[in-house]
Amino acid sequence: MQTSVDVQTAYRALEAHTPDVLVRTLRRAEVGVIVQQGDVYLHCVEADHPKGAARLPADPLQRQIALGSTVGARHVAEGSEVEVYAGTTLPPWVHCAATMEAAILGPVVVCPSTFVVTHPEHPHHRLPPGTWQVTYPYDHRERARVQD
Amino acid sequence: MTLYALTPEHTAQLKPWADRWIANALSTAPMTEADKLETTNALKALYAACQLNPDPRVVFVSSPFAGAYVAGTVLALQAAGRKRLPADYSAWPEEARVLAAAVVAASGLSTRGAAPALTLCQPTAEEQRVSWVRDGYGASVAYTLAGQAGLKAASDVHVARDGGNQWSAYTSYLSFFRHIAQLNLDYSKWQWYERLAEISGVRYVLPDFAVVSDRPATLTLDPQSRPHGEADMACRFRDGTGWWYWHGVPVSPYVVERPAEITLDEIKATANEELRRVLRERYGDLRYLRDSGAKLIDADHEQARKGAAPRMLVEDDQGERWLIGTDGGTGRNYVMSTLRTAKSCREAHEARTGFDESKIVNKS
Repeated sequence: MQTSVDVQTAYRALEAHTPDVLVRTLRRAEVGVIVQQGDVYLHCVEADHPKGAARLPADPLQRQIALGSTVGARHVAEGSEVEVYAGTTLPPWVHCAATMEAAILGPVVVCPSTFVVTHPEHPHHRLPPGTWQVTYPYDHRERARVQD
Repeated sequence: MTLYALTPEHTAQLKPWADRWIANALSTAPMTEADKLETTNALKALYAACQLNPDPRVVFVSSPFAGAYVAGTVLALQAAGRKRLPADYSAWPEEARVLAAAVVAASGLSTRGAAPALTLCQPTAEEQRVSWVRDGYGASVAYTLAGQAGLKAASDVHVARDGGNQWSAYTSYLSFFRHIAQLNLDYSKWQWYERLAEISGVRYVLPDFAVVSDRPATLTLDPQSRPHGEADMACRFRDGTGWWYWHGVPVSPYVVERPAEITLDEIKATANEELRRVLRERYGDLRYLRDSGAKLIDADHEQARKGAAPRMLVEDDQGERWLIGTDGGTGRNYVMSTLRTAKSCREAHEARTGFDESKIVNKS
């Protein structure tokens, strides 16, 4: 694709961008809607979206929805009624090579009430009740999911 | 003969067995006197099993660097034509006695001989750089004493190197079949190798001389369990020597401690792909792309309702394409690898996620 912007202008546009640090609130979500927090994507899916075994809801660490123990991995689904299940199936609108499928599949978050996805650095997301399938981006050079 | 098949009981033992040996590989406990005595006996048994001198001289040192130094020196002396030194120390040639004192001093066994050690062994900056790569000062000592022949002999030290407890992986694998599967094999020779991996660190095993290092004092890992030090050695021994790693890739100290010293020319001249990636990361991916004149392929502005930001797709001097953007919430810029075939920012992003990015309503 040809672009009319020169490279220095593009760099300057990046550097000049002011981040929006406020909480993102989504009041209503239809199936197919996606929110992104860093390297975590939450897809609003059907209530009967396939899911695996439940994690213990009493353990707050079990509601972490990204792998790892670093600050960057602390994407946590917070809410008294949040339940987190192992993911088994990508949403139908995700299309990728088979080698990528397993790498990008995350857990399923189910909550009958409003909940918040928190992170120590990224602005939080307040999300409406529903079933949310988590996915991660894929690093084609590393041939693995992105993990920070 | 019956072929072994993994049973459910043995399968249940895989994880605990692996955990036990991982802990062994990561051990930072100093070797005790009992460990040293048992190590000496195990080495003698191992030498005998290999039909070598059953009574090798065993020297304990504080680090693999000191070990390489000692072993490299021995090989250098042998290369210089002195195959065996007399048992009587006073009968050694002057050069050998000074060298021995230097070796002892550098090995942390004694402070005597420190001055001749410095005189003999103080490497130039270039030699230090080479010797870090070659795993210790033995190379520069050998070069000082015996020129190219000594250097070759010292570099042969690597042939004699065994990782001890830090090479637990294969020992774990083989010992599983000995202790858990209980295969009907003769482990009478293997048992000594296995025991050495449990009780001692890196060692250099020469025909009639073995040098055994202590375990490290500290060992730091990244979340993927790779050796990694953010600002210091990842693996430090008690004599102050150690190794620098960046997410599992061994690097020179300045790469971790003084990344400002990394130059664009150095990155471009680095043939090793992994090391080049690390140098580039430490230099700064975005800075590298700017300084190396990466070609702009596309630039646009995301479409999310909240958190949308400008982004760009560039191609670097290796033909790799990179999506540069922000998360819209922290002010950070990210340099993200993507397919070489991506022609637009959107295509590059969707290649990483597998879905139509217009579905993203909010991002942070």
